[in-house]
Amino acid sequence: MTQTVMEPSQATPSKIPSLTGEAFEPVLIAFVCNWCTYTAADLAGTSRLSYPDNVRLVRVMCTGMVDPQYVIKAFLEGADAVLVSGCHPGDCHYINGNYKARRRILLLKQILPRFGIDAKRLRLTWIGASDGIEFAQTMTRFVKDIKEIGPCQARQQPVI
Amino acid sequence: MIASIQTKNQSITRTLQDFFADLLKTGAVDAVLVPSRISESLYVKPCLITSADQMDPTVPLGPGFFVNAGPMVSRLTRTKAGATIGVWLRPCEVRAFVELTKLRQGGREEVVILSMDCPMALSRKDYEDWAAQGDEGLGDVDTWIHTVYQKPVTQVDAWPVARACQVCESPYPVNADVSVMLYGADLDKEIPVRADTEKGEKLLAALDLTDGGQEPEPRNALLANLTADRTAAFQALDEEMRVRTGSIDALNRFFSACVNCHNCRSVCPACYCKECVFNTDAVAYAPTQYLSWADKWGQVPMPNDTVFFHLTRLAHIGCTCVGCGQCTLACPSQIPVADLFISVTRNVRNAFDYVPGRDDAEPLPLSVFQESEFTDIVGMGNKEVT
Ligand code: SF4
Ligand code: SF4
Ligand code: SF4
Ligand code: FES
Repeated sequence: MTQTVMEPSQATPSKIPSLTGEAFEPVLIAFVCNWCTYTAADLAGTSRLSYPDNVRLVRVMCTGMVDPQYVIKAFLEGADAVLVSGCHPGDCHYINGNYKARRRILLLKQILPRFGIDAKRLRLTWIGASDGIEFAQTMTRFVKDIKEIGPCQARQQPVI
Repeated sequence: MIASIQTKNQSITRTLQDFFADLLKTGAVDAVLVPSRISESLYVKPCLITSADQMDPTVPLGPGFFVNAGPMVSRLTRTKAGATIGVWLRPCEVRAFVELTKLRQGGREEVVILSMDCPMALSRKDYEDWAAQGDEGLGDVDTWIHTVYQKPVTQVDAWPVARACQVCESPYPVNADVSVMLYGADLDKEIPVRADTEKGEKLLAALDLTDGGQEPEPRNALLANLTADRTAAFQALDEEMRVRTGSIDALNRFFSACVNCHNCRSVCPACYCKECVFNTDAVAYAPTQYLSWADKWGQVPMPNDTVFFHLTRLAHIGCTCVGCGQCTLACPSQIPVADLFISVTRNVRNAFDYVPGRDDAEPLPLSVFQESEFTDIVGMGNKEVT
């Protein structure tokens, strides 16, 4: 595992456990839709499929309600990565929320990299209710990717 | 159709004032919205005028630009007024109004949009200095007009125009009913005006203006040079902003003087919310929340949410910033807010192939979608997990 160290412009804060320890443990925030990806996460749990505990799930009713500002706030609060995940095209319980989410993610993928937040730190996936295995695999993969990219800068210093 | 208005007393200002007065006198419109001096001060604001004898303080063309009138036209057209209003707008004000109509905040039915080749604007400090040099507390407007329309300039005599104007990609009328063509015109003689819609033709006909004019011969070449200059200026600005705000740390420094007054939002014609989330309890945190933030990093600057506010605004108006520069003008901390917003949004909107103000029929990018588009941004970016 490679770890990128971002140039620290201020004294490295001491209170973030994963930065003081040996290995970098990223924090991932996942906005998951109640009807599909959240159900898949639940299924992964009940099927005893393991995935890294770096992921904090935020259950939303539909990916269509994830305002770009939720994603922005998550990054500014020190998240290393954000996942937005919902129903496959055609399966959204609110008809087309996932299509709208896709445009918002595209928008954010244009904005965030301007400020040093790598576009790879933001992902959008469609994971259906019965895809427990895919959910666990996706989380494992995402955590691995982010461990390679390293911690996000906002995690290391407060954003005004 | 293109008509020609004869210049009176070699004064473009007087000629346009009479033009607006005639619009009222003939009943072609019931009111006009034109920038006018407030109590003989140097500052101008859009004023809604119904009386033809109120034209003297108006300044139809000049470097003072302290309110984007787009939202004012939105206020005037939110519900039916039962009157026709002629609105005299800079190109970026037309763009702003067009974007607001897409949000159903106003409509074109009862207005006639008159727009012009833009006289550009000065920063507040430069404007005050410029005004101090002229008679009667206002700078020499006619000299400004004669200089600005002769060739593409980023500087008018000693005055560099606002950075937003230096990079403005369309400082000429798009989507107006009547377009006043000033670049390259023989201004001592005439002002060529073009009707772009049926409404515009009716308006000119009401003043007995007929199809006897023509576009100033050098205008097209001048506009081409201007566009080339400004494209280059934008690239320089974009580069500069990428360096100055390329990381969270740099962004912190860029906004370090920000006092969270939110003036930049208040004056922004593209900010559309009836109630901004930054005025709500969503950002009224509990004391324990601040302490837990301080605990996380060792400290938390207060008031906080400064960068959060600016990035949220960038996301919300990412496709619709009209590049008017008002946010910079309004910032008490002299932060070049518009430089950043123009640089970021002009790239963002490319992803949606969108240009604000270009076309009434072009829907707001975040209000529509297609089923098979942007499929490459979905997934984990690798084959094993899709
Ligand atoms: S931004 Fe463009 S349209 Fe607006 S005042 Fe400046 S030059 Fe004119
Ligand atoms: S962000 Fe600034 S430049 Fe853009 S529309 Fe708003 S006030 Fe004008
Ligand atoms: S106007 Fe200036 S100081 Fe006020 S919120 Fe905007 S950037 Fe900050
Ligand atoms: S309900 Fe799952 S994405 Fe809309």
